[in-house]
Order: sequence, then C-alpha cells, then structure tokens
Amino acid sequence: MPHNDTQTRDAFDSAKAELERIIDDFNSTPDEAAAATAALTQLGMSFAAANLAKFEARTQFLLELSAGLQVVIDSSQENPIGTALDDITGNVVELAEIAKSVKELLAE
Amino acid sequence: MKRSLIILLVILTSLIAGCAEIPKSQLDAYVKVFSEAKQASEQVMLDLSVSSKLIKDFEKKNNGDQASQSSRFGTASEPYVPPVRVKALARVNGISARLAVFEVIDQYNTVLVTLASGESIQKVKDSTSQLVESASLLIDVAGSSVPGLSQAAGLIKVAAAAAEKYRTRAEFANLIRDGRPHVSKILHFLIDDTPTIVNVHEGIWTAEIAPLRLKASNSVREIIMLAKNRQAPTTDADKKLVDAIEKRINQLSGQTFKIRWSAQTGDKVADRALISKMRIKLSEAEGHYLELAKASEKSPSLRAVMNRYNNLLLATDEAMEHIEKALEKKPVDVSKMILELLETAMALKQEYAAFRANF
Repeated sequence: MPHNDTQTRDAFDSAKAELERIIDDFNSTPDEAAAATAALTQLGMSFAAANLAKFEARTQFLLELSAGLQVVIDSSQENPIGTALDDITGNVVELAEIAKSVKELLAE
Repeated sequence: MKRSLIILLVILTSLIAGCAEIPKSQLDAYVKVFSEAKQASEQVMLDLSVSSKLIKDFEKKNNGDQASQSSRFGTASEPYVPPVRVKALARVNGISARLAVFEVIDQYNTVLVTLASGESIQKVKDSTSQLVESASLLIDVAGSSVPGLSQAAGLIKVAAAAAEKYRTRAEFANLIRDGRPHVSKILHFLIDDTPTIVNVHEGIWTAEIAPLRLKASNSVREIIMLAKNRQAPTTDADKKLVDAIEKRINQLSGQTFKIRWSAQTGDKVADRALISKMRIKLSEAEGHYLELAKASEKSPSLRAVMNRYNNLLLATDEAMEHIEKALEKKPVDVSKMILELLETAMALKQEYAAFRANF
C-alpha cells in the first residue's frame, strides 16, 4: 500500500478506534454513545466513498493500459501467406477463364 | 522448377526445425488460470457494485454533496477528512472498465490460441490446393502440359504450409513479447486495486456495525441503570447471580465490568426481582454482542478472499511468464526470422511467377 494510502487508512483506523471506544465504554452516557455511533456511521461511509472515488480515479490509467494491449492485438497480422495465395489463386482462375474464352473463340 | 521447389522445401523444413514450437501446454495453463481470475474478478466487481449502490443511497439520504464534503467526526482527536471528494464518483464507471479489460485480455488470448491451433496453416493448405486445381484447369483449357506439375503441386502445398507454420510461430512470439508487458501491468494494476476495494467494504461495514455496537453497549448500560439507587445484594445466592452477570458481560465485551452499587444507606438492596430484570437485559446483550461478533468476522473473511484473488492474478502473470520462458528456451531472432520469412515468400512468388510464365 502506498505511503499516503497507509496514512489515510491509519487515520481512519485511529478515528474509528476512538469512536468505538466511546460507544463501548459503559461509562459513556447513552447520548454520548449515540453521537459517537452517528459519527462512526458517517466516518465509515465517507471512508468507503472516498475509496470508491479513488477506485474510479484510477480507472483512466487502466483504460490506457487496456488501449496499449488493444494496439498489440490490432497489429497482429492476419495471414499474409494465405492472403497472397488467395490473390494468386484468383488470378489463375481468371486466367483460366480467359484462356477458355479464347479457346472457344478460336474453335468458332 | 521442380528442383528449385524441392530446395525451397528443404530450406523451410530446416528453418522450422531450428525454432521452438509454440508452447501449447503453457498456453493452455495460462488460458485456464486467466479464466479463473476473470470469474473471480467478476465476483469482486459484483460485490463492489453492491457497495457502490449502498454508498450512493447513503449520500442521497444525507443530502449528497453536503455529506460528501470534508467531514469532521465526533470527538476523534484528529478529525478524518476523506482525501477525494465523492463528487468524482459518477464520472467514470470503474467497475465496467475493469470488467471490460478482462474482455480485452480474453481477445488477446483468443489470438494466441488461434495462432497455436494451426488454423491458418490449414487455410494455406486449402488455398494451395485450390490454386493447383485452378492451374490444372488452365492447362487443360490451354491444351498444353507442364512437365512435373503434379509432383510440384504436392511440394508447393507442403512448402506453403511450412512457411505459414513458421509465420504463426513468429507471430505468436511477437504477440507474447509485445503483449505480455501490457497484460502484466494490467494484472498488477488489479492487484493494486485490492486495498482500495477492501477499504470500500470495510468502510461500509464500519457504518453498518456501528448501530449493533451501540445496541450491545446500551444493553449493558441498562443493567447499570437498574443498579442505580440500589445497594449490593446481601444474600450469597444473589451475589452469585450478580457475579455470573458481571463475568458474562466481561466475556462478551472484553472489558472489566463491575456493577456499581449505591452506597447510600437509604437505598433499597438489590433483590431477586431486580436481578431477574438484569438477567433479561443480559440475555438481550448476549444477542447483540453475538450479532456484533458475527458482523465483525466479515472483514478478515474479505481479506482472505482478496488475498486469494491477488494470488490468482499473480498466478496468471506467472503462467504467462512460463510461455515467455518456454519460447526463450530456443532463442529466436525475430528480425532474422522475418527476413528469412520474406525471402521464403519471395522465393515462393518467383516459383509462382515461373508457373504462370508457362501459360
């Protein structure tokens, strides 16, 4: 985990532990415990939301990586030998047809 | 012509013998482990999308933007401030992007598998057969003959297939060489995602568990309230019952718990009826603490799952490394290979030109 992330996580853990301590402490009044619970709920959801935002923010880099791989896929050659053979075959077939026509003409 | 074709065939055969085969077993292993990683990722993303919806619903409930801005929490000594504003959420759908990237790798894998399958070699054989048939037709129409054509036809077919085999192997090696760094980076990117994903879930669970925690501790507070303005029990039997309650609360809460009885002489002594009420409250507390304990188990379970997921992604990367290493066993100079292939293609063209010159 990068240093900043660790710091953020540590800050969350520290705030969470403090609020949990207040809720768990039987000496806390019900009002204090309730306020700490509301704060803990908010803390958890804000932390989740901040991380989801971070997850989303990283996406652009992933798209770039994906595009790089797509270039490799697109650059993979089809089948040049097969294509060349197909072209030649086409020409030969055409030649055969021409020759056939010429032969028929001469026969007439 | 026949002689030159034989020479060409011999050259091609020797070239192919000189280079390693496509490492099919390593490729199979890689494709299988990738498929597993892809399925695992779909599950991870599905869970995350559920959490994402919970966050959005929470924000709506708490007036969205206002709740998402820098927050200060209760009595925490250092207020927690989220590093990124939640407004950024709606801009890009990161979950779809991650699912899509697996499809791109899948597409890449399909190209590798197609090359390894030898489909194109068969296609070349088929094209060559067709060519020979057409040539035969042409000769027939022209009413002439080409000496050695039937023998040459077989040789051309073999030579063309050999050239294609050579090309596919070179193409496969190129794809691995060029594609692997991208795939590896993507896999490591996804591995780097996991702490963030864990944080999303754990943040939500923290919020979900908070009311359970309050319920549990409030049950104990109610026991404390029952003891207010009451003196400690005096009979041994009642004392034992109270000791048992305290001991059980210690076990449940993990705290040292002692009921504080009143020292005021005017207050009533705790009787059996009061202790019974305390035991009812204890029973409620037990339920809440067990629920809390169960909910708290989610986090270590998630971490274990995410570790396995990471291992699967790493295994995918390693499986690809094995393909690369298998290709390196007999090092192939790709540029030399391409040159040789071009020469081969040129020789073939010349042979076909010679063929055509006969008609």
